[in-house]
Order: sequence, then C-alpha cells, then structure tokens
Amino acid sequence: MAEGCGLYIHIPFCKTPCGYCDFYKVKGERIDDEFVNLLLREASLYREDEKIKVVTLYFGGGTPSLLSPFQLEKIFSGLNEIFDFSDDLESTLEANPETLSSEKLDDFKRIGINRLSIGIQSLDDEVLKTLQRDVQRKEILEKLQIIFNSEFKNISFDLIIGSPNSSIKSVLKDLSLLTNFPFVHASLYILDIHRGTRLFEEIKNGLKPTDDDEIAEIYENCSTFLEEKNFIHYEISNFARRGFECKHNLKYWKEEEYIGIGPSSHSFFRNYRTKNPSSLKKWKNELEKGNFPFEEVSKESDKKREENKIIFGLRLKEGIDSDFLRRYLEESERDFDSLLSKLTEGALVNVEDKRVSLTLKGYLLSNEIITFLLSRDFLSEREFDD
Amino acid sequence: MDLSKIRNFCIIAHIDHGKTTLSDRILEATKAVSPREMQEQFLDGMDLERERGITIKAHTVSLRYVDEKGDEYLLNLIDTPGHVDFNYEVSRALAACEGALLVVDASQGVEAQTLANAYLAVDLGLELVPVINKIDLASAQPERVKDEIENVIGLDASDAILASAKENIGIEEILRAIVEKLPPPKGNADAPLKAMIFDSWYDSFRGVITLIRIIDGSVSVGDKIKFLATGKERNVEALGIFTPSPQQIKSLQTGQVGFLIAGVKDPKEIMIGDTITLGSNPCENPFPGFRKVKPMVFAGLYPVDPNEYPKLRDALEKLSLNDSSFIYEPETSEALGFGFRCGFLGFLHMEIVQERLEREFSLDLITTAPNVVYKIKTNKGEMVDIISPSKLPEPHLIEEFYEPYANVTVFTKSEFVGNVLKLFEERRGKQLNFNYASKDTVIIQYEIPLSEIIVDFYDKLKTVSSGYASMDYTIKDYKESDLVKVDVLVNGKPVDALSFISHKSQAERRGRVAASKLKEGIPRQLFEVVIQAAINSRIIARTVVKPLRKNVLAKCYGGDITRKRKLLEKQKEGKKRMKMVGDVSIPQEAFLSVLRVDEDR
Repeated sequence: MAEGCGLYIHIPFCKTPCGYCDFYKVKGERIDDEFVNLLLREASLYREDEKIKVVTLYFGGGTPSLLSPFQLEKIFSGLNEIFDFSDDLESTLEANPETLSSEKLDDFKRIGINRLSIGIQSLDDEVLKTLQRDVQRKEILEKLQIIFNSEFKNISFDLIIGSPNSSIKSVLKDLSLLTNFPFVHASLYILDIHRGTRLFEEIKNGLKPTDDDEIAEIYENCSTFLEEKNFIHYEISNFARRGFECKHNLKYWKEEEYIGIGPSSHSFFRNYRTKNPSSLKKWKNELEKGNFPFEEVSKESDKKREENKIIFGLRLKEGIDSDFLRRYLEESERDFDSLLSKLTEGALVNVEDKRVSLTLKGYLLSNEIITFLLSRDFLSEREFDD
Repeated sequence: MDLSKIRNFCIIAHIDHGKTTLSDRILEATKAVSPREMQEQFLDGMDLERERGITIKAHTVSLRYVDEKGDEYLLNLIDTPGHVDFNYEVSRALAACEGALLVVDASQGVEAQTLANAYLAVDLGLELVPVINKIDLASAQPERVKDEIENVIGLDASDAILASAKENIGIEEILRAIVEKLPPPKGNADAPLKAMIFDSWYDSFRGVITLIRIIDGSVSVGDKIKFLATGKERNVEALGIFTPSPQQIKSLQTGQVGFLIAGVKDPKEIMIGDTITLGSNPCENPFPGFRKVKPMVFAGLYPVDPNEYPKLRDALEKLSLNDSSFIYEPETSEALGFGFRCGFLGFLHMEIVQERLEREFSLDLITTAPNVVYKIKTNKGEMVDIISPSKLPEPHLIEEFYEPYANVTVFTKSEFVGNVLKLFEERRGKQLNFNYASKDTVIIQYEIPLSEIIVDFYDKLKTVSSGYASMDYTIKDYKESDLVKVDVLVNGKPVDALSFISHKSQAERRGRVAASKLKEGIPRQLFEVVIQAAINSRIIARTVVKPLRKNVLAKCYGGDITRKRKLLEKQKEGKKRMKMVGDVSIPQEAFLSVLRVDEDR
C-alpha cells in the first residue's frame, strides 16, 4: 500500500445538470452551510489518535466550484485537522469554467487547492447544446484566460468525444485550441449514454448517436494528436505531461486506499469497499444518528483484489506484471505465451520488459480483452447490487 | 351395459374453431357418469396417495345423457391431439370412435386441418355430424360454410347444426344428434378380448397409464393381458374411467372406453395403436392400422454451458417418459461438445419439446438446424439412415441418395394463391391438386420434399397469406434425389454442427444464404471472423465479420470500480449464452439460422 490515503469529497450540486450526466447531483445554485457541516461530520468519523495520512484530496461533483471560498476553507481546514495532510498534498478541485472568477481562483489557491480540473467537454456551440451544457464557447474561452492568469499551474481539462453532432474535425479543432493553453493534463471521455439521462431520451426520440467505429477513429486520432504535443497517454482516458499524472485518480486504478465523503461517494479503505447512499436525505439521516452512512459494504477478498489489479491495471500504460498475470490465470508458460501472442498479433497488447499493457487499439477494446483473458472462473464473486 | 346406449365420439376442428369451449359446454350439459352406472361393483378402496397418482389428464371423458324419452346414454368424448405432426395419434383416437362432430368456424370456414382430419375420419368409417360454430359473430356466414363443407369435404351439410359454444346455442341439439345420428359401437361381447390403445402417458406413481377402447370381449382387474406388438404380458392392476376425475372400476366391457394400468414402467413398451388381448385367450387378429411411429425430423440439442449436460440428460429422460414419440441418443460435436441427437415427429413437435426443455427445466440450449432422415445406399449396397449431416459418408461412398416426401394441403383465400404457389415452387414442390373450395377459398395440394417444410415453411406460409392460410401434411415415400452436403467453415475450420444437406440445385444459394445469415448472427468480436460455405471442399461463399473497434468503459473512478465489474459480469453473462467455437463466440440462434432461406436482406 502506498504511503497515504486518497480523500474524495463529493459536492452533488449543479446549477443546471448537463444532459449526459448520470452522477448523483441535485439542482441548486447555492450550497447551504448545513451540507458543509455534514461533510465534516462524516469526515470526523475517520478521526483516529494517529491521524490517517492523506496524500491526495479531490473535490468532485456535481460542481464543487459552486462552493463559496468561505465554505471551501471551512471544509479544507476541517479536513486538515481530522486527517494528516502530507506536505506535498495533491489537492484538486473540479470546476466548471462559468463558475470561476479571478477572485474566487485566488481564494481557492490561498485555501490550499493546487490543481484544477476544468470541465470543458467541448468548444463547439452545437455540441455544447447537444450535451445540454449551459455555457457557450465564447464564455469558456474568456474564463480560460482568467484561469491561466491565476496562480494555478497544474490545470487539466475534460473533453467529451463521440457526442452526437460532433466529428473528428470538430474534436481535433477543440484539442488544438486547448493545447495552445499551458494545460498539463487532459481527460478525454468517450461519451457513454446512460439510461435515465435527458440525452438518452433524445436519442430514443431520434437524435443520431455517433457510430462506434467513428468514435474509435476519433479516439485514436486524438491520442496521436496529444502524444505529438508531448502528452503521455497514461490511462485509457487520461493524458499528462511527464510528472503531472493525477495522483488521486491513480489510486483507483492501482488498488490503493481512498476515503469518499459525501452522498453517493465510494471508499476503499482497509480492504473494505463501501458506498454511500445516492440520496442527500438518507446520507444525512445516518450521519445525524452518528453512524457511517454506508448503504453497502463488502470486504475485498484476495482473489478479487488480484482480479481488480488486472482489470484496472490494464487501464494504465504501465500495464501489469506478466508473471503476476500468468500466475493468476494458472497457465503454463507455453499456454500463456500463445494466449498473449493471439493478442499481440492482433496489435491489441504490448508485452515488454515483463509488463503486459494494452495498445491504443487495445484500450478501445479493454472490456473485450479482459473478458477474453479472464473468461474462465472470473468474476465469480459478485459485488454490490444496485 | 347395452351397446346401443353407448356413443364414442370426438370433435374434429381446426385450431381456434372452438373445440375446447364446445367440450366444456357438453360437459356442463350432461352429468358425469357415476361408476355404479357402468358396473354393479366398483373399487373405491384407493388411498389418497394412489388416487393422486393418476394424473388427471382428461383425454377422454365419460358422460351421462338422458334424452327426451328418458333413455340414458353413456357418451365417451375422446380428445384428439391438436397439431399436424401427430397425424397417426389422431388416426388412433378417431379409430376408437364411431362418429365425430365436425366443427367449423362460421366465419373462417373449412381449413386444412378440418379437411385432413375429416378425410381421416371418413376413411375410418366414422359418421360425421357437421356443426357450424360461432354463429353469434357478426362475420358469420353459415351458408357459405355449408357450401364449403359440401364442396370440399363432400358431406351433406343441409342438417348442419348452427351453434355457438360461447353463447350456449345449439348444445342440446348437438347432444341429440350424437345419440340419434352417430352409430353405437359394434363388437362381440363373447369374443376374446380385443382392445386398442389410443393414448398413454407416464405417471410417477402408477407407471404408464393407457387409454383403451374395448373392441370385443371385456377386461377385468387381475387379468393377464398381452400386448400384441411387443408380445409382453402384464397383469391388469387397475381399470377406470374419467368423469372427468378418475374413477376406478372392476372391468371394462365391449364398446367402452377407459384407462388401464398394468405396472408398465417403461413408456417405450407401450405403443399407440397396439392391441391388447388376454394372455390365456388371445384374439385372432390385431386391430388394424397399427404402425410404429418413427421420428422424421432430427436435430442436435446441446447445453450452452457444458456443465449442464447431466441436467439436459435428465430432462430428456423425464420428457420422453411422457412423450414416447420423441427419441434421443448421445452425440458429440467437435464444435459443441457433448449433446444429443433428438428425433421428432415433425417441426412443430420439435418446437414443443425445445420449449418445454427451456421452460420447464430451465435449460439454455443450442439447437442445430433440423434435418429429415435421409437414406443412402452405399457403394457396398447397404441402405443406411442418415439422421445427421455430419454422419454422411464421403460422396464417393454414396451410390444412391434418398429423401422423404410429404403431401402438403394448404387452404388459402384466393387472393394469396400466387404467393402460396410461389412458395411451393421455390421449394421443389410438385402440384397435385388445385381446387376452389368456394368462390374465394382455394385448396392446393403439393408433393414436396419434407426437408423443404421443416424449417420455416409454416412461418413463411403465414406471412405470405397475411395469416390466413392453413396447412396440413402427411409424410409419403422416399425418393431418390440429387443431394449434397454443404459445410460451413468458421475461420477456416469446418463446424460440424453447421453443416447441412441440400438439393444440388439449391446448394450454392443455400450456402451463400447460410454464410450471410451467420454473418448477421455473429456479433463483431476481438478478432476478425471469416465465414465460408463449401461443397465438397470447394468454397462457394465467403463473408467476414469485421473485428470490433470499441468496447470500453471510458470513465472509471472510485464508484465506477464496482460499475466496471458489473459491466464485465454482464458481458460475461452475455458471452455465456454463446458457444465458443475455437476463438469465435457464436450465439445460440445462429446455429438454427443457417437453414433460414429468406434472402430479403
């Protein structure tokens, strides 16, 4: 286990929820102080004599940038008092450009945030409209000026690819404009259309989704483009300049510990996976009774942990140790080699220096490759049912 | 009991023309017969457990009817199987009767099954009473239907009873006609026992229960009886009638109908149509018309999950207890592993069995494309039955190749005649008859290779006639035919479970269709899938399923860890419903799809 824990704070409020988003969120422009108090109340359940060491802090949402500097400061200092923040704490705040101002940014920086993850999604007004993002290209670009005029240096952007009404051309245009700004990190998400979202309904009513083959094309083009701009494609959806990989998110993929606070957040702590209810009310009720608000708890068996190491390790450029994989699959050297050679022949997998990793083509097929590799007694234990 | 007071009858009707409702009305209008009325003495000493042991499956019901003069009659209503594959069973049930109600829907008119079963009944010497049912419907056209009955079946319909079973119209008239117009059974009460088996089923407590009609003589509990076809002798353990609840009685007399239990544990020992006589005093000749039923359609059944092989085996065993016309034997396939070659009377029978296996035994099955039983004469002069294409010898070892033919009768509205004829012509049919049943109804008869109708003929017929056409068929003889085996190769390897036998003139087209059907049926996967069809190693078609480009969970953070696992589990479950052949996942349905010959897409 790495030297410290990740800490995730879920702020489930949005001014106008986006059409594609299926995260737990509540419509609201202002966040009341009661919520802030409840977050700290939940955090204090983790108070221990020897404080838990925290190396990464991540405010996600929802729209965490809706927090007033006063509220954020209260949370930050509260957490800092409960947990042992490491000196080189990576502390990220997700922000929608339209919620930012230079004053706010100065305050955030002063409070202790040192990394911003900007939810841009697209710079094409047609696509923004399709995604039902309540913002336009012009405003985003203005806000980017403000962001890069602030003291923040470690800044990431989110971009969605494969949205209806988008094309290779429109996405590459966005990328080339964005990479003119000194971003050090980028997340490119292939749009998933989730049941229950407004976008899902629109597609049911005839909006044409982008074809999977075209999405694959866009994805591969974007990756090549960003690598040419010196971004390393270090995870399926993530790119970073060397040394700027998101330490917090790496914890998820490397089976390291993290504590989630706030409704709908998840934790993986001391070998237990827990889930908070996706309901402010239920979350609050349990906290007020002085309980952990978990809705589900499951212990991670050794087998499942190994399996997860494979499933999630293969999301990373560094991949997984090939001996570990072979032992897990209980294959002889020969059978294992022939299994892998099938994948390498198809240019889906790289095997180098005893590491197995997915190629760009392989990233796009990671679900298939994992089921192909682990198809025997794999996933025998079920986890949560929701 | 006086023979003149017994009537054995059944109801002939096309599906949905109201047989069940009419039976119910007849049951309501009569009183159930008490066993005392049939015998002076009866046994009622059964304990509950044994009583429960007799499955209440009222395939025949004994009823009491008192006419206006106060005369009492025993009416035995005998049920007949409802679908075309059970032709022989229908003929045995009919043979147990002296007469039948011919029920025709007042708006639908005569249909293929009505005609086929009416002819069968006439051939067996049954008296028919026409009943025009559903006359309450606005669309009823009794005069037209009368014409049809006269023109098509050749039966005087001037006295046809106008009825509505639903509205309880004409029921008393029907009952009166049964006793007045249908003849009583003949038979010699003093002759040695001669009884005909017309139905049987398996009961887990009592073994095989048979339904019999006493032709001559009588049978009593304790008698030692002999089955003529098998030569087996058994002791009669119980006799009885259904009223409709089972009632045990001591003996069954000439002309009567009832059940017989003789401690038979193996259903294969009982054959429908067989004659029962007394071991000590046998009858001279068996009841005519007996034949062994032989399955004509075969298909491979395999569990999708190889671990379910024992479960499938047990299910087949249980099922065959209640359906002795269905047979199975173990089979292995390179592609599908361990499974069974199963024989059915026809394609509907196959569907029924398959559905029961999936529903009642919750099995996940792969059914291979069905084939008829071919016959070959080898170059050594032997005649061999071929029940599976993969068992076909190399072409140079085959001297002569035979396939079974069927006579198909189709009833259709004249506006669809063109479509129906086209369907027959596409499938090597040879026209035998073409007649107008009435102004706008046509009867078409074709001789056609059985193989042409076992897959999707019926569905097609319904489609091309907007659901109006009805069909019936009887299997005829074998004829020599120019046949070849078409192999299907997946990634260069022949898949035994996908090969099929086709007439040479159609083989190339069928091969192409099979390849393209498979292409539609096999989902894109990690690697490219090449599908080929070949005749005698010559490739005649090639299609490619392009490799998949994208299947990824793009976002994967804290909470998504569980979401991702769930997604993979779901995908794994989806894969479970497919069969891995080499590295290729083939969905269950694809194995059947190779023989679907529509080329619309």
